[in-house]
Amino acid sequence: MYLCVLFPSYPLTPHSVDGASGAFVAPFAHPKLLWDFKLPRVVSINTSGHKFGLAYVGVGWVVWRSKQYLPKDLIFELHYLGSVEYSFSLNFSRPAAPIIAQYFNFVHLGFEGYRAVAKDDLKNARLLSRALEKSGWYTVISDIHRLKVEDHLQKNANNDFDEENPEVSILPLGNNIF
Amino acid sequence: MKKIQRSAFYRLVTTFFDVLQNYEEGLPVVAFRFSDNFQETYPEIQQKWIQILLRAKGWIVPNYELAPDLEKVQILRVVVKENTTEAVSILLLILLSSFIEAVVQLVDRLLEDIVSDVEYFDLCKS
Repeated sequence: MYLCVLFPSYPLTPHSVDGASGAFVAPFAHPKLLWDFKLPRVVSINTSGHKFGLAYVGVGWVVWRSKQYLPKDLIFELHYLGSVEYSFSLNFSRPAAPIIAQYFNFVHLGFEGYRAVAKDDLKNARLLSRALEKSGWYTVISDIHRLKVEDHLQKNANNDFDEENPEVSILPLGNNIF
Repeated sequence: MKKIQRSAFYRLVTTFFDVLQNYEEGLPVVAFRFSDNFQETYPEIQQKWIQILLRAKGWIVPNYELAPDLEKVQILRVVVKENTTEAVSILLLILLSSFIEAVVQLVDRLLEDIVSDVEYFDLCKS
């Protein structure tokens, strides 16, 4: 993202994003975040299907912007029984169970389902973070429970932000209510 | 709510936020360490003990050093998954606090014993 912002005129070097576990959280929890194909130089993204993809261990994903970016060397050509079979995989032969589990969850949960899971995860993570911090024994290093600095809630923290009920708040309205 | 907001007839006084967008973006991962205050009060207590004690209860919460230049900082890390419900999070919090309380109690008692031993030793000398 920073490359694109800082050097917009720099020749478009193709980038591959290692999405790891985050690429199954970011699109659902933070759809506006710029890290994916919205950036012109990103041509491929990989991510784990297990972890936040909600499938079993054994499925990972690589997605290309278009066929032209997939190196031909990676495609395996099999001339078998009089026809040509093209396959692209890390292993030639492997169980399909994790892929079917992933497929099921895609169909079953959909975008809204994955978003609901991501929101729940983050809510529980915030609960954990706040409780640890309030205990006094621990300091939390991760930032997901902190409000964005530019956020108006932060600016008006003393007036409107309800510490005891941090998930709900009231807009700062000032004199404009009536 | 959005419909009221768009209508020309009413003015919305309260709003419920889509709370997610008010927080820093990130993964549902909590990284934490002993607070400075706690480390100063109890330098004898090692953070890795928490990992060991949690492991005994069937939890895998790694304690490890950060990358070079911050290698002196140790963190404990919890990944919050879809099966880490609110109840499970609270269970973890109970364990985390009860371990600390137990270890603190133990260290306090040991220190007390050492102090009384030293006093007894001084008394014998005089």
